[in-house]
Amino acid sequence: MRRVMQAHCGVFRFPDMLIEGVKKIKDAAQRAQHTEIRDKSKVFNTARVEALELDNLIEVAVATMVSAEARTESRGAHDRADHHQRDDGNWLKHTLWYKEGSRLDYKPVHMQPLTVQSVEPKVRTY
Amino acid sequence: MRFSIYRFDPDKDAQPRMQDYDLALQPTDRMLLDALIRIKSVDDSLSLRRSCREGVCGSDAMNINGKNGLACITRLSDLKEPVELRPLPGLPVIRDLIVDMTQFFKQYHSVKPYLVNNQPSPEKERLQSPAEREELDGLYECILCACCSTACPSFWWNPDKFVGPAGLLQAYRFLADSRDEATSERLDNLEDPYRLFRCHSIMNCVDVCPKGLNPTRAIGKIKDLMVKRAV
Repeated sequence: MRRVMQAHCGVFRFPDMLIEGVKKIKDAAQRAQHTEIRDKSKVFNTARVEALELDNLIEVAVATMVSAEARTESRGAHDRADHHQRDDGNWLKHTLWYKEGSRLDYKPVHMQPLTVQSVEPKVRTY
Repeated sequence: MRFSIYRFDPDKDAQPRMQDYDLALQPTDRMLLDALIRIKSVDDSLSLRRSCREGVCGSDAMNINGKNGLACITRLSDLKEPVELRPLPGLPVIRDLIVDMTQFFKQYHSVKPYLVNNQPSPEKERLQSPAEREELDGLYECILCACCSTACPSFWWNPDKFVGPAGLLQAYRFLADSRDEATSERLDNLEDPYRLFRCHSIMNCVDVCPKGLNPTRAIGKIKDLMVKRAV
């Protein structure tokens, strides 16, 4: 999981790597289903904690990988070589991942803060 | 590389034992924690605490070849084989390298390790000059790893009565803070043959502190304060 995410879903992402990453992380998720812990102790069982953490990590990894592959723009730490610019027209929205059915959905960004002035999205230049 | 590690599972073992491991390290394994994680992939029943892997959380404090330290910042190349790993001395062992830190934290809480200032809060911060802030250097950086207190013979003999180097370092951190107003109460709190005065400047604490702090010096300063006000 670590290797796949590091290689296929780092800050700088590439379309072919993203596609391959989705396949590889789903394979890893399959393998994670068969995690076995040899330590059966009931006292401070760190192996059990690590296995539970693996469950959570792999689920987040799959969600991250699939969402990244779907987002055809660059935004923040998601920098795609094939879509270098931010695309507020199509992609100013939050990605939602649902484990049931492995599906993606989107929800709009809340543009009006409650107590402070709203800041218009601008092109990021330094 | 060869390791000899203290093992104890209260469910299974009547007595603790030392277990030997000999494992092939990768060139990327630089620190003791890397080796321990590799051992865990071979024998996942080895239990240890670890978190930040960069020497700032203090979770993986243990006794390494007889000296307390943090596994994540102890270089394997500095260690003599077979590397003997034991839990921190003096504290009750829960399992393998995991100890019960309750006594340690009880002493820490007993010195009231928070700012006491009943003046109304100012608009922004309670101001402090750079010189006043410098007084806190070498005190605030403590990560509460317990390497010092578990290396202190006075703490071994009286963990319930002697506050210990870590607790006393934090006691001084607040005594020295210009923004704190409870100086007198803090010193009253240590006015006892055991709380502060079991320190005999053994200095094991200074020797093992992974952050390079000096509890003995801080304790000396507390003793100065106590003498000054008694006079």
